[in-house]
Amino acid sequence: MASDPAAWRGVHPLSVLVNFVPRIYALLRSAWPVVLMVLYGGRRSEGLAGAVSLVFVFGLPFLASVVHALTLRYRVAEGRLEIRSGLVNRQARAIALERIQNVERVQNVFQRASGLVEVRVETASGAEVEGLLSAISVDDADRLVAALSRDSAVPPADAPAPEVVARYGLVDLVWAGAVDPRLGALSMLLAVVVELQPGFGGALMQRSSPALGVAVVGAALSGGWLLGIAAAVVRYQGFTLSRTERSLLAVHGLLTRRRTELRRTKVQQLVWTEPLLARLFGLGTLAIETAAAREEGSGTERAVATVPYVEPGQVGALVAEALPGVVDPATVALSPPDPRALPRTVIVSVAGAAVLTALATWFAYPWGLVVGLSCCPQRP
Amino acid sequence: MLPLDPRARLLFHATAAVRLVTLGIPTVAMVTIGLVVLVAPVPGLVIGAVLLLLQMLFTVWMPALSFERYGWQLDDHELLVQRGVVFRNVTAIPVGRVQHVDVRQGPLEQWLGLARVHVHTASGVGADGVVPGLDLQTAQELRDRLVAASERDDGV
Repeated sequence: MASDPAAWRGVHPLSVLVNFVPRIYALLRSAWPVVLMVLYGGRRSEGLAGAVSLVFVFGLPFLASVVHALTLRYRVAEGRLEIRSGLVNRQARAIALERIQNVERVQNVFQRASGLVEVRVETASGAEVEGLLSAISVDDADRLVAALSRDSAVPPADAPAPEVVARYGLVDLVWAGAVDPRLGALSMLLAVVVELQPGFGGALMQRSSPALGVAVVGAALSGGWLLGIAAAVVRYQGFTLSRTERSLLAVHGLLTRRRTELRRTKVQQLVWTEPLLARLFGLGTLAIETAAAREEGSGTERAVATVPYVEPGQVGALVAEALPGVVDPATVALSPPDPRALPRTVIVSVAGAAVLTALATWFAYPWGLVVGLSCCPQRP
Repeated sequence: MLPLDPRARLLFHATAAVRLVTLGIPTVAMVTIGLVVLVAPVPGLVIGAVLLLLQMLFTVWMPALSFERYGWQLDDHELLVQRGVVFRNVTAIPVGRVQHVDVRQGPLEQWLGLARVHVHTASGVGADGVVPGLDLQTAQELRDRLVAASERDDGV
């Protein structure tokens, strides 16, 4: 039966294309010197050698994508998600449904145009997505997510609608992006580089009028600021946090649409963050984290849902609605540290900054002093 | 402790032989050539021959010892895996903490009808317990028992 979740199902043939690009990217990222050597090193590859080079760079990832698409099968049966894949090296993975931390449905622009969905099932183990189905149809994804939620007996159309806990519009997201500290800091850094770089900003200002330099710095600042706003809008457009009887559901994204579902009992911690700029405007972000972790970019990402725009006074109500019984992290009364922690912090901070400042000043006076000033307020 | 499938002895030997051909001999060859060119021909050849002999002895003896040392046991509470010849190791994994289980087969294992069971918990990046050299049917039963047991205790 086609709708039987216990029947083995495969991914869509277009998953070959969906997987091919990331595989090429992964190959180029990890082995770009070898790829450059193969394609352009020594004598220019011609004839058979050129064909072998092309097979190495493009053929093998394509073949791997084809094999992956042909061999990957999945099903939900007997209280577990099973995923089989591989031809030469075969793997049959079994994940108990109770162990699933969160399920994410991702649709980038290509997948939306093709009517496909990427489903990511995460457990608490490892640093990767444990159940990755890169391209399945929307209907299959609906059935799979329902089966993973153990609601497979209930047709999705008859299921009770999730209760919306938080919803943000364009204006809210513009505000969230406007006070984003990361891109704000980036724009500040860019502005300082432009200001100090002799070959660019400094020389420009010397040759031109000071007004032009100010305009360049202003443009860099406002450009970074606008970039932050655009990033927030693209990432969180249409943000909705809902809850069902057992789960939380976060939906957001303009180009890549994400729909993350997690069981409320799987929440490990809530992180309330108030960066300086956001705090000045009475805003902050609330991250909901499970034990699922994955390596993304510069570090380990644990937040499965981030509410991008919350006023401190609203956090308690939001948490009470989304996670009844959990304390409000924004207003909870906390115990102060032991008084002996202060000298320890000062000593560690000053000692570390002194060493750095001495070294930096020795090599680059007087800018080393600036390094020292920036290093002093270290986190204890 | 339960022993591995008898066919695992052949698997261990075959794996060691492949490793000898693809890694061991080329490494010894490079070291020998380096010594012959940079130091002196005769000592270089002698050291190379000794290294090759050690590699071959290692390939002949170590798989058998490793096979004898491997053992596993699953009860209601934990999976025990014992391994190691020089450095001995016993891993105990509470079944209530198992997150997911893989059954894997490389080409040699498919040829011999064997499989490896990789047990993942929340404590590490990779597999926390690996039981190689099991009959495919035994491996699947072990996986099923571990996954079924992991549903009972919602530790994480």
